[in-house]
Amino acid sequence: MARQIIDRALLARLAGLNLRAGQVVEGVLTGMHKSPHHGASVEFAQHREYVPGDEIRHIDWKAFGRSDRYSIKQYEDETNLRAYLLVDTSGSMDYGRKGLPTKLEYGCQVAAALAWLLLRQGDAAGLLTFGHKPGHFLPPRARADHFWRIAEQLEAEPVGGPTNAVGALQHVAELAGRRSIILLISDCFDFDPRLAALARQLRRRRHRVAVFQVLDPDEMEFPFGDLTLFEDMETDERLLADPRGMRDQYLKEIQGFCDTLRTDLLEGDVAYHRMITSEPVERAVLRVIQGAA
Amino acid sequence: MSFLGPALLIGLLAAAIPPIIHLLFRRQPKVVRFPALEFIRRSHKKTVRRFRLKQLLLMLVRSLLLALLAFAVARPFLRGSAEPTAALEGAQGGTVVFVVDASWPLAYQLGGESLLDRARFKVENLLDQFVGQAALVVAGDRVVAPVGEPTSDFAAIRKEIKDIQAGNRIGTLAEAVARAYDLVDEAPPGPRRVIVLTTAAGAAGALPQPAPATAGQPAVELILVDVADGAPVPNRAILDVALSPAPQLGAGQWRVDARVANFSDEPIKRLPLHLEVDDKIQVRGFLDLAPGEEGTKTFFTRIDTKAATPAAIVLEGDALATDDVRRFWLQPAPRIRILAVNGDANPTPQLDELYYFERALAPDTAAGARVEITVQAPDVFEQSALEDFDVVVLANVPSISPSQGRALDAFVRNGGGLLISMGDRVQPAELNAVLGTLLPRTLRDVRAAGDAASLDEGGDRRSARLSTFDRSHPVLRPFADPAGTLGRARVSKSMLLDPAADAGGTVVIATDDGAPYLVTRSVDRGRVALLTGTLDRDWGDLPIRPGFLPLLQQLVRFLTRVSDMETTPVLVGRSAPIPVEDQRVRRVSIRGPDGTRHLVERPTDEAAPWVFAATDLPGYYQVTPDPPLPGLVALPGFAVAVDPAGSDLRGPRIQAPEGEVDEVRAALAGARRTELWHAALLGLFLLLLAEGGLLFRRRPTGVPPAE
Repeated sequence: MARQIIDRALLARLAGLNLRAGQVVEGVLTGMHKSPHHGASVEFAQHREYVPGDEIRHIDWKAFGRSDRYSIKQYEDETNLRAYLLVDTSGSMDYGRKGLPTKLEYGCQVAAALAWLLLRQGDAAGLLTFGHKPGHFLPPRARADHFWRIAEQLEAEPVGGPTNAVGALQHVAELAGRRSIILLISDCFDFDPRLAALARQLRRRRHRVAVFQVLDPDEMEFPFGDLTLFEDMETDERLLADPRGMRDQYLKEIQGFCDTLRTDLLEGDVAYHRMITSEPVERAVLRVIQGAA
Repeated sequence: MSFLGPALLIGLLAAAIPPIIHLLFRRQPKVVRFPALEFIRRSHKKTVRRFRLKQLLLMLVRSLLLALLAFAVARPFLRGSAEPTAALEGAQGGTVVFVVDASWPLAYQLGGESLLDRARFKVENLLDQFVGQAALVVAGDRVVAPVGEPTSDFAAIRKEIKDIQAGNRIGTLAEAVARAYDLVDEAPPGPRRVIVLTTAAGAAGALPQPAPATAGQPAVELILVDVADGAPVPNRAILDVALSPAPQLGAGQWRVDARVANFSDEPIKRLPLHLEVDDKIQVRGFLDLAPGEEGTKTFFTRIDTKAATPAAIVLEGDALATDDVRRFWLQPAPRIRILAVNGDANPTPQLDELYYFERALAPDTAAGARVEITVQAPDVFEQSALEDFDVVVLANVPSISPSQGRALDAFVRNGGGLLISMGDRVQPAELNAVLGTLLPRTLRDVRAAGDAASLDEGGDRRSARLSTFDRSHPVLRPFADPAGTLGRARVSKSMLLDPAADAGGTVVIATDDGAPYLVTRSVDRGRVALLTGTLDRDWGDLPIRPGFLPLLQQLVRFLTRVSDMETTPVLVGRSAPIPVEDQRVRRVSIRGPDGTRHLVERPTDEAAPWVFAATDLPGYYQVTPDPPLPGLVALPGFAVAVDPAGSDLRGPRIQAPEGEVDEVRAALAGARRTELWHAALLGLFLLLLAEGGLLFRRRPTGVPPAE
């Protein structure tokens, strides 16, 4: 069954916000900043409302004459920001505490919210889903209706298999020709040490990279008591364990993993945001946009 | 190491409970699909060994906890000395007969063990140090000699002594000592001793003295050992319980008097005790008792039982529980059959001679008795058979025939009751002639009351008051203040009695002009009461006074000898009378306190008492007809109690004869034990701490939710 990720109320609340990519990926703005390629393309795409920061010379005075509103003419190639949303659809993302969304649902909602914001301000947003290997790919487009294609894809994307975030990053590195924003939404449970190195490498290639690590509260609190037979969601491997006796060690392990990942990414100038599915999506996205991270 | 309660060591098996629970109730693990299995795997590797060790330790600690608990409950102890003393070695070749008092007071708990346990310990300790021959005599419910031949095989004595149980009787110690003398007499030459282990009270009792020394044998030495080692043995006990009707409090009310003793040197303040009926507490009370004093606690209770009901007075428990309860049966109200001869019948009820009499004894007012009144006219009475009645009342009857007079005489002498009341129709001379052998005093003539009193007062009074009361008489027992209750009655006329100094009978009530008003007399097995007034209002107003009702009820009970409900318990071992009136019952089934049933046939000889002899246990004995008779479901039972003479365990301190080297007493003095249960409890505490430490978990903390 297709998951429901488009919360129109959420989108409406986010409508008043502009995604300051810089707050996501260190100050890369689009539509709000100078483009190094201004005038390079002449294929008209659409009008958009003038916002402070736009150059006055780009104002379409004819449109102003007709509508008495300042509008900026946008061309297909005008934007200098291509955003790639990489969404992890591996089996481990299918976990969710009772009453909360699964990690995949949560990640899709985050991806949709980010796509909505990007597209709304005229930037191009593309989507790459991945599990063991790269899945569906939607090239970045700045058209408003592109959001619905992304949303449809997110809703229909099957879940399962092991995580391979490194493969997805490698794949998108080949696709992204010039500098782009790469937003990786995953639980990062592939434990591949090359992940941080690859993200740093992309950063050196002037891409802006941000990792959104989506985790469930159960993973962070380990609230299990009795003897439990744990079954891996990706490999179906089983392990009998007494959660009470090992809880402290578990928490130490996952905390260490998250801290190491964060440190490695931040050292490579890669943004890192941890998102727990018990936190409302809106608040999590706002926290990211407002630079609380 | 020895144990005071070795049987409780079976509790050591409880140590197997934790592993058994672990094996039998292993839970099936819950299956959880979880994404972060890698972290679990890493944690599992690091913690599994520690976890398993911890679980193993926890199981071990819990098993030890249970085992140690059983160990502590079994009361382990170490004996003071296991080495034979030089003095006892010197007694090698001697003979000792141990006499262990196993009467019911030896169940007294002192320092967490019974006096009998202490006696056992002392015997075992002496055997450990003694070299010679020994025998054992036990003074329980009866005297037995489990080891009746002096032997050097002490294992037999040790085994037998473990099986001794406190009995339910007292008074067999002297016989046991005599038996011990018999045993020791047959012993080979050498020192001979009889060691009696009993209470200070038991040692102070009359025990036979040993025979003097003969040419070939030294004298037998009698050594008395206080198993309490001179420690105080305070005890309180219920000595007896008495029931009597309390008609002054209303219908069905009874008075229960419990006599309680404080056998200690300390006063008791507010000792709680209660009356329970059919295992339900009816009334509670408290009693203050000075040291060594006896006191009586009185309860009043209403008894409506139509069948025999078990009841008891219960004291707050003390070290000797056996005498803290006194059981008895509340029997169904006794049935009293009265033949009332009405000498002055009147169609107007209030003017009838027996109007007030019948109402005073009506079934709903007759406390503790079921009264059936048959009223007859004098001429009918002449033809009546008296065997069917318990009491005959002659109310204002002019005279009776000599033949009926003889019948009445026989009736009274066989246990019947006779009440004669006066009136205008009475012909004193004729009654004197016919009933002269029964009347307490000779009737003389009717006189107006109050003359003498009015002379004393110098006035002109037309009536006399009831002023003199014999308070010790059973008829007046219900009255706390007879003068206040009955003294208001006025008597206008009374029958003058022969004032001879040697006149018989007991004057129970007299008027203030000195005339007897109620006189009673016993004639063989029967009783006679003479009322010099009337049962109606012709000669006075007593019938309309409140005191008339209890007076008449008590008078009727007095005449029939059922004034008190029988509560005297049968002592253990004594024969209990089987109180079954109904002659149809030829055999009864008696159910004892332990549930055993005995069938007892009525003796063929009617004169022989019907008794039950197997009263070996204290408690209730229930009597039912066998086979059951229609309309007769339950019969009065009886209660058996221990002899309260054993409740006082105190006695003079036992002193050793001066100047004698008493090695046995020295060995007894050295028979100290080191109890280990304190250490076991400390171990329990430490194990609990260890378990708590193993179970202790730090307060759970999670990874910060987001950053």
